[in-house]
Amino acid sequence: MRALLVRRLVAAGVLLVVITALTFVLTSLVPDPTRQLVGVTATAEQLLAKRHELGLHRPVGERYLAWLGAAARGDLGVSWFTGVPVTDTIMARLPITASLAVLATLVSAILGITYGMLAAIRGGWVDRTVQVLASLGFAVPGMWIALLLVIVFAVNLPWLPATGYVPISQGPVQWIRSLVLPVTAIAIGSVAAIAAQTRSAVATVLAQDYVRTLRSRGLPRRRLLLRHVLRNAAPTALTVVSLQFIGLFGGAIVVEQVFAIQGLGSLASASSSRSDIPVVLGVVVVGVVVVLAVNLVVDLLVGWLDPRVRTR
Amino acid sequence: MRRLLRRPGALLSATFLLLVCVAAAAADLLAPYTADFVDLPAVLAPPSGAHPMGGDGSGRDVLSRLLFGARDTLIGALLATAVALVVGVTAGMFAGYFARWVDAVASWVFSLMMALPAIIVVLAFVAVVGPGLVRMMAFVGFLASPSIYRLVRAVTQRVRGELYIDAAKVSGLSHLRIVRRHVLSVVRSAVVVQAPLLFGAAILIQAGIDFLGLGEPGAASWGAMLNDAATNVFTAPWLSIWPGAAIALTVLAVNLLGNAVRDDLEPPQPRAAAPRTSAPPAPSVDALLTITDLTVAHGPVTVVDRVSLAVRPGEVLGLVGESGSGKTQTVLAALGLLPGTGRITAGGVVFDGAELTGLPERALNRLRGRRIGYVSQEPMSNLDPSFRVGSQLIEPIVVHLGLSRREARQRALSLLARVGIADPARIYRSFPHEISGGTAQRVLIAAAVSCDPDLLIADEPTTALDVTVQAEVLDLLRSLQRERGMAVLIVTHDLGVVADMCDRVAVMRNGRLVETAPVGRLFASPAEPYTAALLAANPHNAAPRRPRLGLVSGPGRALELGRSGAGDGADAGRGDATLAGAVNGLRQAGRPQVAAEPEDAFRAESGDVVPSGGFARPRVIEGPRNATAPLLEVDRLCVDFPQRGRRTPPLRVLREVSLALTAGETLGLVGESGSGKTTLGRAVLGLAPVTSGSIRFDGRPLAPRRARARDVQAVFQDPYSSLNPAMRIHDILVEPLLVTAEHTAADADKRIRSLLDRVGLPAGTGERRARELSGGQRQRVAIARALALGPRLIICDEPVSALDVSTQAQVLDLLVEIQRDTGVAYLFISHDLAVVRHISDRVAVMSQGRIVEIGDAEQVTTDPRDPYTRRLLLSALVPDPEEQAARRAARLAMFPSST
Repeated sequence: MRALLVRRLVAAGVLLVVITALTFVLTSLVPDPTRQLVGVTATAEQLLAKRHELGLHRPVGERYLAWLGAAARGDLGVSWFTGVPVTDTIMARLPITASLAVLATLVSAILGITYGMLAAIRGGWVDRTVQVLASLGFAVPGMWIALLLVIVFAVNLPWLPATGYVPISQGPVQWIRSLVLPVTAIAIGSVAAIAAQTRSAVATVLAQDYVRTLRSRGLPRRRLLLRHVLRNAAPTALTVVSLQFIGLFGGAIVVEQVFAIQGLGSLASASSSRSDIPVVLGVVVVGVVVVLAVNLVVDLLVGWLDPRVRTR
Repeated sequence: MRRLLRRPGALLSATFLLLVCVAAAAADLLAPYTADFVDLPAVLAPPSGAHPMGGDGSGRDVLSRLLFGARDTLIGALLATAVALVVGVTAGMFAGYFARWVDAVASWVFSLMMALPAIIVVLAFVAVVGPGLVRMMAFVGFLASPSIYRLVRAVTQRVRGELYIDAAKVSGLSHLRIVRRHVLSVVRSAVVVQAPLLFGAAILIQAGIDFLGLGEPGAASWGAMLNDAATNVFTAPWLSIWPGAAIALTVLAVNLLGNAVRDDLEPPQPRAAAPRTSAPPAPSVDALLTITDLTVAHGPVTVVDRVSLAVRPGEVLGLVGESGSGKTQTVLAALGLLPGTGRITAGGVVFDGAELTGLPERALNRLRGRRIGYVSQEPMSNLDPSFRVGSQLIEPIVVHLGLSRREARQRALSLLARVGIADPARIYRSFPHEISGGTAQRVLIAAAVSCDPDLLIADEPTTALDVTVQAEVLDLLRSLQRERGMAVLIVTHDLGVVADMCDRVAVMRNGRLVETAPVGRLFASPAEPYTAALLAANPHNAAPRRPRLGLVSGPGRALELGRSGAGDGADAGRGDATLAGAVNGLRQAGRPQVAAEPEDAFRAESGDVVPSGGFARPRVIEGPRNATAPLLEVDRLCVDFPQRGRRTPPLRVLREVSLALTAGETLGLVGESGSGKTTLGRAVLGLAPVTSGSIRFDGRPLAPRRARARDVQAVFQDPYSSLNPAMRIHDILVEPLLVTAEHTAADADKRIRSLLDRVGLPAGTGERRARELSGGQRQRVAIARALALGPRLIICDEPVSALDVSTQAQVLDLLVEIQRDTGVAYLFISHDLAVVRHISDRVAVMSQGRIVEIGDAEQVTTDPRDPYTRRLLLSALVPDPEEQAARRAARLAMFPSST
C-alpha cells in the first residue's frame, strides 16, 4: 500500500513538471505579450523595462526552473495584470468552485446511482424512462439549462438569486440558495452519465453466474441486491463518479459565467483570454492536483472494494 | 443500414441530422440575411415577419445566424472527432498488437493525457496560442483521443488473444497483414459505436468554447448565440431557445443514431421475464421432484419440449444430452432460475407435493438453498469475487437455519473439512481468486449441502475440472449422497459420469426426452437408437489404432469393443472375446457419413437416428515402422514465462522436454491443465519463446516462424476462436496460400475447392462465413487450412475437446483418413486418454512441465509404469457402470480419497 502511494505521488510530481514545462515552452513560442500589457503608446524603453520586470528577457529554461523552485515553496508568482500573487487569487476562488463541484457531484452520484440501479433491476418502463432521460441529459448543454433555470426560477418566479455567490460564512441558507441553480445546471448531465453507467454495470453483474448461484441458495432478494450486486457494481459506479467530479470541476467554468460566480473557472477563462500566463499556470497546477488526488483516492477505494485488485 | 433506418428513432435522427447538414451547406441560399448583417431596429426584437426568430443583442437576424452557425458546429465537431480517431486508433492498434515496450510507452503517454483537467488545459492552450476554431477543436480532439486509444487497445488485445491470430501466424502471414485482415475489422465496428458519442460530446464542447468567447472571433455559432442570449437574459429571454434547442437536438440525434448502430451490431441482452402460472399437474406420489410436461421457450424458440422426469428420495438421476439438448434449461426452469427471456410455457414442477412454477420469489427462496441445493458448472465464476469464501458460505446457513454467525462459522468450517479441504481455516479466509478450481468446486458443494437439502441439483459439476480432480469431486458427491440420503439430479454430457454416479438415467435430445432407464439397462441395451449412437460415439468405446490381442482378450475390452456396434441394434461381437469378433463389431459401427453437414445428419430431425458417428476401422500397420531419422526432434526444451513484477522469477513451464516424432506417425501428448502440453505445441509452432534446448525438423533447426509454415501447421482447440467469425471460409483458406505468392487467383480457387472436398465439406462452403458453421464444420475448415501448404507435421491441440461426442468421432476419423492418404505426422495434444489412445501410435504423458512417461500407445494406456500416469488412467471415467466401479475401487485402493 505504501509502495503504491509513493509510486503514485512520484508519478503525480512528474506529470506536474511535464505539463508546466510544456506550457512554458509553448509560451516562449508565441509573440511577446509585453506589448499588450504596456499598451500601444508605450515607448521602447517602457517595453524593455516591462520585459525585465516580468523576467521575459531570460531564456525559457532558466525562467521555468525559477518558477518551479518558487512553486515548490508555494509561490506561484504574480499576475501580470493585477499584480496580485497568484496563490492568493486561487485560494480566494478555490472554495467557490469546490463547493459547486462537490455539491453537484454529491447530488448527481445519489440520483444517478439510484436511477441506474432501479433501471437495471426493475427493467420495463422504468428502464426505458431512465434511458430516455439519460439521452436527454447527455444532449442538453449545461449553459442552456443554466439560462433556462435563470429565466424560470429567477426572472419569472423570483424564488432564487439569478447571479452571485454567497459564502457559507454569511449564512448556510443563503449559501445553499445561491448554489441551487448552478448545481442543478451542471448536475443534470452527470446524473445522466452516472445513471447510464451504473445501469450497465448492475445489468452486467446481474447476468453473472455467481448471482444465479446466490439466488439458488435462497438468499432474500434485498440482501442479494444490496450486498452482492451493489458491491460488485460499485467500482464502476465509483470510477464514473470520479470522472464526473473532474469534469464538473472544469464544467463549472461555463456555469460560473452564466451565474456571474467569481470562481476558479471564471478566473481561468478571464486570464486565458488576456494571456495572463502566471495565473493560467496556477490554475493548471490546481487542476492537475485535483485530478491526481481524485484518481488516487478512487484507486485506493476500488482496491478496498475489489479484493482482486488489492492483492495484485 | 436499411435495417437501421427501419427503427423510427434512428430514422427521425438521421432525417434531422440531414436537415442540419443541408442548413450548414446551403446557409447562403436559405438564410434571409448574412450572419453579420446588422439591422439596428431589430436589436432584441421579438419574432416578426422580417425576422422570423427575432433579432439578437446587436440587431442581427437570429434565423440567419442559426443557419450559418450549423457550419462551425459541424466542422468543428467533425474535426475533433477525426483527430481523436486517427490518433487513438493508430496508437491503440499498435500498442495492443505489439504489446511490450510499444504498449508501455503509448499507455504511459495516454494515461498522462487522461490525467489532464481537459477544459483548464484547453483554456491554457487558448492563453498561449490565441482563440480560433480549427486549432481549438483539433486540440480538443487530441485531448479526447485517450478514450479511443483505450477502447482500441482493449479490443486489439482481445483479438490478439484469439486463436485465429495464432492460426494466421502459423500460416506464415506478416504482422502487418494480420493487423489488416483480422484486427482492423473488429476495431472498426467498435469505433463505429464510439464515434457518434464522441461527435456529440465534441458539439457540446465546441458550443462551450464559443459560449466562453474562445472560438473563432466574431463568427456566427450556436455557442456564441447562447452567450448573446445570456447577456440579454433579463430583457430578451426567448433568445436562448433557438441555439439551445439546436445544440440539444443535434446532440440527441447523433447519440440516438449511435445507440441504434450499437443495438444493431450487438442485440441487447433480454432480461428476465415473470414466471407464468398454469394449472399444476397431479404430482406423482412417491417422487421428491416431479417435472411434468415441462416446456420452456426463449422467445419464439422452444428449448425444452414436454419433458417429464421424477427424482425419488435418495436416488441419483442422471440427465444426459449433447450441447443444446435442453438439459440445463430443464433444471434451471425447475429452480426458477431461467436466464434472459426464458420462461416456462407449459407443464409443472412439483417438489415434495408443492407446485413450484408460478411461485413468488419469496416462497421459492424458502426452498432454494434450504431443501434444494444447486451446484453449477464453472466453479470459479460461481463464487462472488468480492467476498471471502467464508462469508459466502455462512450466508445461507444464517438465512435459512437462523444460526448465529459464530455457530454458522463452526458449521462452515466443518463443512469445508468434510468436502476434503485440508486447511479449512485458511480457505475460509480466502478470496475466490486465491483458490484453485477444484477447491472452488468443493466450496460450492459445501455451500449447496450446508442446510442439509433433500435434493441436490448438480449441473455438469466436474466438466471444468481436470481428470484426477473430477474423480475426487465425484467421490465426494457420492459419499455425501450416501451419508445424507440426499436425492441427486446430475446433469452431464459425459456418459462416464453417469456410469460412475447414477441409479437411473434420462437422455435428452433437441429439447425432448429420448428415454429413461435404470443405468445398468441403459448401458447394456439402450432402447433408443440415439442412445445407442451416443454410446457408440464415445471414444472410450472405440478401438485403438493398432488392436492388440493382449488387449482384446481382456473381457472388459471385448465388451466395449463389441458394444460400439450397438448402433446397428444388434449386439454384434458381444461377449465374443476374439479379435475377429471385436473388429467385426467395429465394422458394423459403420463408416461415418461425410455428408454435406456431417454432424447435422447425426442430429437430423427426421424420426429415427442415423447411427453414424461410430469410429472408423482401426488402421493395421504391417510390420515395424522404418527406423528412419525422426521428422521432429525436441531436445531438452525449456520454456519460461515472465511473471508480473520485477522480482518474481520467471515461471518455468517446460523443463527439459525431449521427444522425437517420425514421419507419418501420431504422437499423443496427454496431461492435465498446467502440465505444459499446449506450450510444447506452441513452442514447435514458434508461438512460444524458447528459453533453452533445441527443436530440429528433418535434421535441421526449425526455420523462422514465417518460413516454418510449409513444414508445420496446426489445428487448434476451439473452432469458435480459431476461425475469424466474420470472414468468409474462402478468405480463411486462402490465407496460407498468400505466403507462397506463386498461386494465381484461379489456382487458389482450385486448391480451396479440393481442400474443402478433402475435409468433406461441399464446395459452396467457401462462400459462407465462419459464424454460420457448426463446431464440427468449423473444425473441418481448420483442418483444411492446416493442409493447404501440404505440411509434414500438424500440431493438433485438443482438436476435438470442444465438440460433442458424435462430432468428435467424425473429426477424429477424418484426421486418421488424411494421415493414411498424405503420410502427415501428428503431435496430438489432449487431456482425454481415450481419445489419445484411439488415435496415437505412441503416447507421451506430461505433468508439471516434464514428460513423465513416453512409449507405445497401448502400453502407456493399459500398463503404465509411472504412478502419475497410472492415477490419470484410473481417474478417467469409463462409460460402463461395472467396469467404472472396478476402476474406482482400484483407484481408491492405490490413491485413497481425501474425503
